[in-house]
Amino acid sequence: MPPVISVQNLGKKYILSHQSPERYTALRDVIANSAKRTLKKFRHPFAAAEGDEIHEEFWALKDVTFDIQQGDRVGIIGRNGAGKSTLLKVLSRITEPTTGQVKVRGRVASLLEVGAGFHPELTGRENIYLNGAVLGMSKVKIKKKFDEIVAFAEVEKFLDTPVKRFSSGMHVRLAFAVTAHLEPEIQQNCVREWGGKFAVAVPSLRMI
Amino acid sequence: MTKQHTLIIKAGHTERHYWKDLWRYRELFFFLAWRDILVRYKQTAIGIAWALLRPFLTMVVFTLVFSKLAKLPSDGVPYPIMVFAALLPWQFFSNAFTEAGNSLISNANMISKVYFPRLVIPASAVIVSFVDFLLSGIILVGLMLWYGFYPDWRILTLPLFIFIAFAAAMGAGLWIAALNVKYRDFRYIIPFVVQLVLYVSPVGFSSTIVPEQWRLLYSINPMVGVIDGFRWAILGGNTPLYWDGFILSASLVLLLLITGIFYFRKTERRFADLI
Repeated sequence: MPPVISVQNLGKKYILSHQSPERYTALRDVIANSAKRTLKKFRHPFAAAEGDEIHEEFWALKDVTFDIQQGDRVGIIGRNGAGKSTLLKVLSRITEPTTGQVKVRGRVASLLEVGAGFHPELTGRENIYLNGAVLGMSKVKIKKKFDEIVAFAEVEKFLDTPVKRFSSGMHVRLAFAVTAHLEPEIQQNCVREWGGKFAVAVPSLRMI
Repeated sequence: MTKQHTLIIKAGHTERHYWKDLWRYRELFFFLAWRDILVRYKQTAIGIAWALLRPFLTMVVFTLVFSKLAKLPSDGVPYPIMVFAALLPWQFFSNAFTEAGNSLISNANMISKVYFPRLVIPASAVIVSFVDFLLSGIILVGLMLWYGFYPDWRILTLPLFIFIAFAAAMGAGLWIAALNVKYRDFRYIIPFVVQLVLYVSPVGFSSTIVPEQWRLLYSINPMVGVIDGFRWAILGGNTPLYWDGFILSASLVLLLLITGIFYFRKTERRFADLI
């Protein structure tokens, strides 16, 4: 049986720009520099600003190769900025890789952050439908799962209250409840835990 | 397990299943449009009545300024009806263009966190404006009853002109939405363009006041074709359609739509990195 997810030589490059350090800042220089930049902008409106910014390549992912079989549960652990979320973003097609390729069999649901697409002005009920649709659930399926989601989030009383009036705990519970009731073939979770100095992200891949 | 399909993700790889994917996400169209309509009138006192009040007041002002003060001709049609027949497609276009242009930026959190065909976002913004368009159509019906002015068979061709208005709004909206992601300058260009195009479009006046030899040049503005088409369909034989200009306008609209889709699809793969 071929692997469910097959990643070959995956790489993702970002361009970082740094401001060149100025020895001291004087208002006169700031005005003069911004005038110069504005003039240049007028002559080459779409050229990247040069001179005062230094560009540096940054490979968030480089030569990543692995296979995941059906039924595997995989954890990816690393420090801040190690590229865990970038990998998930590439696997879930949010951003495209710079090099290499990925083969995915089946439908992927990604959970980079719960509550994507929540709108503060809408009620809990409305947000459940909206968030479900954003995550690729059909209306019929959301309807079927609706009671379960509400029971899971324990927000029956506030279903018709705008989410902006929810407590932050209720907000997160509701958002998590919707995502927890997705039933994709491949699920990617990204659960963040904060402890000590580092924020540790533990993405996991799970086959259902 | 449902039917399998293998997906290949690599750099510069254009999605083969793009249109199929778009079809799969058709419910999202509906949900996003529904959300925007709901949100628009939350915490407002008169709610959906705003969709009627704004075009109505604009029509009153335009009629006063262009008919009573500037004494422009109305081709034998009550001036309010003539203005409103143009105001309908114009407000649809300007709202759709503005909303679609800003739609990607205002949904940035969704774009950087979830995958779906990005075309859904500006398209649903256009659909929201289309709902407003249908609502303000009620005012036109009211005006026609009030003045006892009834359309002839030409009204049946209106869907065609609505389609052209839709294509113009969508094409321009896609261009601006995609450009806005990279160059936020376009956020300031949008209201400026809308204001300028209003002045050069025959909204408050009839395009028959444009000298004959300039009519074709005038039709380079795609909204001229759309508005003239609407007037021809709604006002009957009173405003003959200038076909050369109309065909020019309509083909420019088509060009705008095709290049808009093309540019959007070319750039959408990088939206999540740029936004």
